Amino acid sequence: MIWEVYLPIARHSVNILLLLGLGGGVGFFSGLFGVGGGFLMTPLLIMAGIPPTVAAASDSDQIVAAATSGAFAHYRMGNVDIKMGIILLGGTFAGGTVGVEIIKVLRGLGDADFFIKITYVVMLGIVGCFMLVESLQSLRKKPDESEIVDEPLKVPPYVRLGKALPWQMNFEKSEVSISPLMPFAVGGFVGTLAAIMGLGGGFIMVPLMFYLLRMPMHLVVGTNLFQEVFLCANVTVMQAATNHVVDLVLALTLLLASSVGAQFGARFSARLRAEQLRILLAIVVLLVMMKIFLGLILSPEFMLDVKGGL
Amino acid sequence: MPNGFRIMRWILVMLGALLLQGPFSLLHAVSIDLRVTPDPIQIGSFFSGAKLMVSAEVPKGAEVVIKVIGKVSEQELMRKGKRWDLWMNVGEVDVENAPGMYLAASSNPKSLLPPAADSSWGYEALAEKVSFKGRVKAVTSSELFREFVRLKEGQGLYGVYPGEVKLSPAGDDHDLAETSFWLPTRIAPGTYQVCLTAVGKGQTVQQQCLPLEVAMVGFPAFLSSLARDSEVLYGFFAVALAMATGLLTGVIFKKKRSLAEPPGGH
Repeated sequence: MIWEVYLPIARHSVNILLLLGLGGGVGFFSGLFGVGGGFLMTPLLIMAGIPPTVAAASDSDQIVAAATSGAFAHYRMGNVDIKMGIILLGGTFAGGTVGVEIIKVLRGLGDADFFIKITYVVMLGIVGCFMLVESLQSLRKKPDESEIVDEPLKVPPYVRLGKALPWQMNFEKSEVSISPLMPFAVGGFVGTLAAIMGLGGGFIMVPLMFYLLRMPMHLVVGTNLFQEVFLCANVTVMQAATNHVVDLVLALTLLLASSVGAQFGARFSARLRAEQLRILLAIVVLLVMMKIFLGLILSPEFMLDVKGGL
Repeated sequence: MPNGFRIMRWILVMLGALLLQGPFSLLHAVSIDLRVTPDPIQIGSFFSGAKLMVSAEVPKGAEVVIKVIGKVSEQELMRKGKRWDLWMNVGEVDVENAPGMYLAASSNPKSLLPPAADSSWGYEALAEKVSFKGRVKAVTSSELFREFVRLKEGQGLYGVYPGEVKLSPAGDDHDLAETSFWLPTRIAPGTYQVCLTAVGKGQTVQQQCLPLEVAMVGFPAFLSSLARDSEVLYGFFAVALAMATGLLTGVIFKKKRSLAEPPGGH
């Protein structure tokens, strides 16, 4: 069958229409929400029969394409704070190194897989519930109140902390004035979790940039995509060099579809209010969390599994 | 003459052996002539598995078992179990002496499946060779073997097909044995063995094996060797390709649609 495309690193064939559909759909979400889509794509690829290690590594490469495409679209619309993006990127690189060490220790103890799944469920659950509740509350406010949701009058403690830290810096694009230590720490936290979970970490980064760094939502989306381009490029090269699990045919098929999908997503995002975007993202995050949680409580089809999936 | 006695004794022993083997004794003369098509199996960009046709001429009246066997190697598996009411990997299991592929078909519908009268073929024979090592408590080897076979059958790499070898008359003293196997896309490149055994009264009458090559060709072969031999270059190539595709898509969309929307559409 001509529709079956052979993946030389995963070492089996998959229907090309399925891959194009997955890439296009996840790319659309990527452009819409400003997340790389790894938290969606990796579980979907595993469900399609791709070995987990190959799915995660190849997905990093397709995120580079989707994030480049999405970041470019957002940059043209003036939605990227490059100064903030570079500091966040520094944090994610530092955090990624810590996360890799944590995984090494956990693998030695034999509990890494369980820890990764539980981290997924907890992080996706917290982020999804928090965004859903907060966004619904914002929508219920009066129209004139919702207009000023990006700059609330009440100043939470973490914002005061950001202002109290040394080396205050003005981020003109984001219209915030905080210490660079704050975005560096946010990047470090997300980078650590992303390394543990094997993802770009956009679904954690987006809410943290919005709630902790107080960046406007449209800048959060573009800036996160900007830093994810470099973060995932680094992961792709590392995975190819050390584990040989980047499948270029898989990545190329996904990234062709996801790049197109990301363009449509970025344009569609301009038609939605910030609260509506966050509600949609929250629902997607919670659905993925439920899928992983069901995998933990329902009996598996096979009691044995190939180590590393290959 | 000692040499003459030796030759006579040798002829008598051979005649005796032929008589003891009964009706199958004279069937040695039939050449099996095992044929396998296609050979080699080529894994290209649009490989969707392959139908392997196997045929041979076998002694009339003999039962036939045909197997496709992959390379024997140690395989690392994870055993799932429940902890705190949650399913997770609870231990590593190393499988030893198990072939990467095991497909077997027979002419007799009753053979290959347990409890078989003859356990020389099928999963029963395989179970005697395969062993398991690892930190798995309260699980017997037979349970592990059952789960291992289920996993491999799910991947299309193991399978037994009793009665799937068709025998048809092809001459006075021989039949034509034919069967086919579906080789899944998960088949690993390498050398496989296709073996035919003709059985009479529980005894192996004739046996022949042929090597079967499975190899990647074209673009998959190029990428596979690049990823293995020039891994860093491969990584940068993957990233450059991804960035170029992302940017190209952006440019195409920019040209296609004039940016009517005001910047920062929120």
